[in-house]
Amino acid sequence: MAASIVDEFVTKIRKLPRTDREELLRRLNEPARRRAEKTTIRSNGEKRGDDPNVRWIKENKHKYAGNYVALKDGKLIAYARTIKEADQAAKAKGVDRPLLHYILAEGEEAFYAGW
Amino acid sequence: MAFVVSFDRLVDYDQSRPGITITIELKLGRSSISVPVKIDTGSTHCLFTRSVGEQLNIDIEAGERLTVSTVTGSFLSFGHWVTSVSEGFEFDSMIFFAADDSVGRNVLGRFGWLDRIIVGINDYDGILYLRSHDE
Repeated sequence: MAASIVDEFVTKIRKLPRTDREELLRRLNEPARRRAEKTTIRSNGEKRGDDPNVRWIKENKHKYAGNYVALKDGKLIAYARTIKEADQAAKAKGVDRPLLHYILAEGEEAFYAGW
Repeated sequence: MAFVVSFDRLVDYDQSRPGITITIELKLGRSSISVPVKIDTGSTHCLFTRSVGEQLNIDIEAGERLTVSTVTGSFLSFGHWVTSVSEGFEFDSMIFFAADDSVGRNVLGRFGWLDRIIVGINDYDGILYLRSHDE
């Protein structure tokens, strides 16, 4: 669709009263909401749990508290105070898609708002 | 001083629902599940219900143990490496699953999702702007 047509739509929509805009949005979002509410599952029935990276975290997290670790196949590639530094350090070592995980510092709380 | 940030994805979210809800697909091995999830800047981690983990065939208690605090108490969860796909963005990150069935919400928190994507929120119009750090 041409950008000018999209602009025209947006201009017209912006002129609508708020209630009409909300109704329009509700209708446009209806298919996505139906998809979201309908849980879809594909499974091969195989139970998963023992992962080398999870094992590494369980065994080594105390040494890297307060840092991001970059892991690959159960091995530490890099670690740093920020995700950016850990990511870039891992990529500099040739690991394109490292598993990045922040290890909570001692006394740091994991919080869940769950609104 | 004005600051300009550009995004490459625009997502309309339903303002009639509580919270900012999008759909996410979680993948592990050959299992996958699509569920609604709320973007939650107040949550430290990404946390999903036990049911979601079980439907991915995850042995929940085999994961990394984490006690999560709430305003009224705390609950136990376990982390597993899962691939998440939402609005075209795919991340491998540690997702936590509540041990108890009573935790009934899925949230995308700071570590595992917010720390790897740039997010703009226009709640007035119900629009979410997204951009990957890699793009």
